[in-house]
Amino acid sequence: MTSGIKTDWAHRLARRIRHISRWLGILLGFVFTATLASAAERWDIDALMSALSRIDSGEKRYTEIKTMALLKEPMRLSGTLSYRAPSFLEKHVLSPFEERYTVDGDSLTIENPGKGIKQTLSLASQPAIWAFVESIRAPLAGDLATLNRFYKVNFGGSERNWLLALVPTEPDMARLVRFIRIRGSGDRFDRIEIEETGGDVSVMTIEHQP
Amino acid sequence: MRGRLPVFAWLVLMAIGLWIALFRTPISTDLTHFLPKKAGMAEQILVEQLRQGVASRLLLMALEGGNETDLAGVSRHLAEQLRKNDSFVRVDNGTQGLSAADREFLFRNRYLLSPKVSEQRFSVAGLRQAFEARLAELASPAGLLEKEFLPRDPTGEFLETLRPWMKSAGPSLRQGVWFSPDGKRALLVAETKAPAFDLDAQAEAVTSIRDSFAAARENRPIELLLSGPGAFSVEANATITQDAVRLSLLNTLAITLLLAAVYRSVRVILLGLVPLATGALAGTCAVSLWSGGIHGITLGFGATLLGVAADYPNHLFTHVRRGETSRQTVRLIWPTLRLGILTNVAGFAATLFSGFEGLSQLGVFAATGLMAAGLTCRWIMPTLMPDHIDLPNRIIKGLHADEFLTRLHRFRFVPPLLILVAIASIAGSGVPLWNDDIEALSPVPESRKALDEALRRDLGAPDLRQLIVVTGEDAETVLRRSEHLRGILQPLVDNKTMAGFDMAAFYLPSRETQSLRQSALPETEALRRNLDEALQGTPFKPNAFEPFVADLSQAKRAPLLDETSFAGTSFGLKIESLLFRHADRWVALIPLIGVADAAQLQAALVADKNLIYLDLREESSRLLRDYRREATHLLGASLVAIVILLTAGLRSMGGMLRVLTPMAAAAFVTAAVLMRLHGGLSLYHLVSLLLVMGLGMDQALFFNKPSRTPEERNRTFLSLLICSFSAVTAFGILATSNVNILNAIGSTVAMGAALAVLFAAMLARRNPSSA
Repeated sequence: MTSGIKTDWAHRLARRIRHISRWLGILLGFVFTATLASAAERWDIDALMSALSRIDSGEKRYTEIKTMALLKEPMRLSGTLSYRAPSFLEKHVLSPFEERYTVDGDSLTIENPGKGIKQTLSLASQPAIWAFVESIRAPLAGDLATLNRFYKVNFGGSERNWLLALVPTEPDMARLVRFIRIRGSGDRFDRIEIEETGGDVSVMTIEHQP
Repeated sequence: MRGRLPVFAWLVLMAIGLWIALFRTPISTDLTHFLPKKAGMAEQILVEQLRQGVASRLLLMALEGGNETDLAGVSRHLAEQLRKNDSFVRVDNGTQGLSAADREFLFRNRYLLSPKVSEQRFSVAGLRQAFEARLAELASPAGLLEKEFLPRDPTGEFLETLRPWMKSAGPSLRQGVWFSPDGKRALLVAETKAPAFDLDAQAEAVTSIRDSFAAARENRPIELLLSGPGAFSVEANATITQDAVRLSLLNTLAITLLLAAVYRSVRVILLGLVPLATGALAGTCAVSLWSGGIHGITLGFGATLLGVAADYPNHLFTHVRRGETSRQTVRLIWPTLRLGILTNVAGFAATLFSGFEGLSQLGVFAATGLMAAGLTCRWIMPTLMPDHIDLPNRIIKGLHADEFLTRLHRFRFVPPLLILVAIASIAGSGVPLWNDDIEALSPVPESRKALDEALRRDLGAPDLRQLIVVTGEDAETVLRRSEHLRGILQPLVDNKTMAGFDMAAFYLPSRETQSLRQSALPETEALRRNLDEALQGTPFKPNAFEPFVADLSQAKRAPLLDETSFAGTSFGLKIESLLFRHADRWVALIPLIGVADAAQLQAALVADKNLIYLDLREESSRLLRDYRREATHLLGASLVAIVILLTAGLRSMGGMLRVLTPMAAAAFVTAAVLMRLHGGLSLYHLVSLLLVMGLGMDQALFFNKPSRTPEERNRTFLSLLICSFSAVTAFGILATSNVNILNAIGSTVAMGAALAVLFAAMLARRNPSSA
């Protein structure tokens, strides 16, 4: 009885080891292929940053959908996004109303021709806004150091479909935003998702066809 | 041994005096002593503000010399260090917004504090307008920041409540810290806990700023510029003390050498200090007993005036003849000495009737001091002196005083003539004789004042030069009056009569205003109805604003705020400094910024006895002028006493004129020359002229002392030469100082003393024996 149990137990252990080793083999194979692949493409955050830093300027159309708890239905906006290295970024809302946000160096200018408003403020005096601006500007400039200053940065995916996930560490920003996800391919941004701590979500899609 | 008793009494008195002076005499630097005894409220507030107002506690800092990033970095680091230091109530460089508790306080009380609260705002139309505005904000990236308050505050009252605090946020920001408009200087401001007149605490604050700066800048080529009343007084105190110590050492050396050459005895030189020391101690004690303490200014100016007493022992020493005891000598010169002391004392006695405590203190100090010095000379010195003072015969014989004076006598018409010339020159100069601008007394160099002005302009810091004082029975009345005044002042800002103003009512509305706002808030039922109607057709969910309904119904019944409600927030300090109790009344200060047209401003403020317009610089200059005027008037009055004393003492009008003319000539000529040089005389010059007059009178009296022999006349002449020579040397050395106060006193007395002895010699009485 006892020996029967023993053999049964030994038998089961041997089967499990075989089982595990087979999976280990498969896993090792994967790791090996992955290493080979990454060695071939070298597509990691540094590669992304260096690819992005080679861009001097660009202008793209975008659409943005904001889903908010306060609103019965999501809000849709569209306009253009422009960038000029190293520190100029402009979001120009064209619909449903016109508004222009221009960041250059430390200054942020908000312009609303409809209301006749034009005001400039310093990013450094508004840490949350600054952090928010850098979530887009720092990757565009390929400036990982600045990005690391405001966010815990995670990166994954392939060159054709990568994901840059940013979790704010700046306290004022962290109070408002849970995370920002930027999806892209190569040196292009395709989609920027922002999820706020209150659950509201904003998704911005960038169009690459004119 | 008859002499022992007075010496014993003197020693006991000196011991008691020393005890009183050291342990029972607080030295104050309180400016209130220099207020007239019947000071008005405005004057009291003025002095209180100068002493401990917020403006007097501000230290302004500027960093310059590096690139923008370095400057911003050092500014951040420096501010961080200083915030840990509890010498400072507040350190600001633009990085610090409102604390969480501050924001929470404003948010909670937004419906009482927001100036936009009205019935219309919560009507259907008002709410609809608000919803449209909020939707636009939600669409913008910045909407992220405002969304958090949206369900509780759709009408945006929180932002309205924040506005007055944001407006005073000051200079432009670069890299998150304050910079001057040209971007070359990073700016910081610190408010010390201690008032500006607390020199020790200010010195400590200045040192900790310099230390923290040295640590923050590491080895970057950045300079720190420091300004503000506290920094100025520390700096001025340091330079004055440094100069005074250095020059006094030089003085002591020069005078000791001079006296050593004449007397050739250490004992005699040391004895020469006894009357002066006794006088200073007696003066201090008298003032202390009379008014319970002594003011620093009294001590400084009083010691200057006592300079006359330095002459007394010289008169005594030089007159000791071979084979004569010092007791006999003192009896010989005492009548002249006594008359000199009495006239000087009479001159100062008038100040006892002054309405200024500070001026009476000065009079008491000088009068008592001179009397004590004189009495010491008469009763104590002869006992302490060596039996014989051996003056070199060469000097005594070689002076030929008679011949010399005879030659000078030919110029006896010169002093009276010079008086006329001097008066004509002063009258013809076209500027007032006295410069009463308080700035003329400030030992701060012009370049530093210009820097201070530039920093204040860049920082938008109030210089508290011009302000309006609003008074009333209680805080509520004062706040209501301020709110009313706001309606008068705002148009003046709009038409550029001034750049702006600040008032407690910006931050704390009167209870009247608050309850008006509260009553404008709708009841819950009415609000719900309006909300439902306004929400129709908007993308907002119907129940999105339930928290708003709850907050508003709470605000409708919330207790009103008063000046105590802000305790514990960082607004408390600001409100306290602008709204406070003064005696049995309440006072609100309304600092005015950049007044371009004071006349127009004053015209707008007419006829309200609860409003006082104060220009601190003009007001303090006026106080100074009153002080100076009273001093000159009382001295003028005491001239009568001096004339009577001299006529009686010398038993002739001619004698009186021979004594008064050189003194007057020296004073007038010195005043005229100084005026041509400086364009107006300050209080320092006035005090120095008083010393010149005292010295001049004393010397003229000795020149006119009846003398029996040519030798005695030679001795008197020697005594006068020593006295004037040491005065000219001592004060001449002081005149080399760069500090205006030392320079003014030094140059005035040096010139005056030289002229006084020259004029007195010209007018000296011709001796019957040689005439």
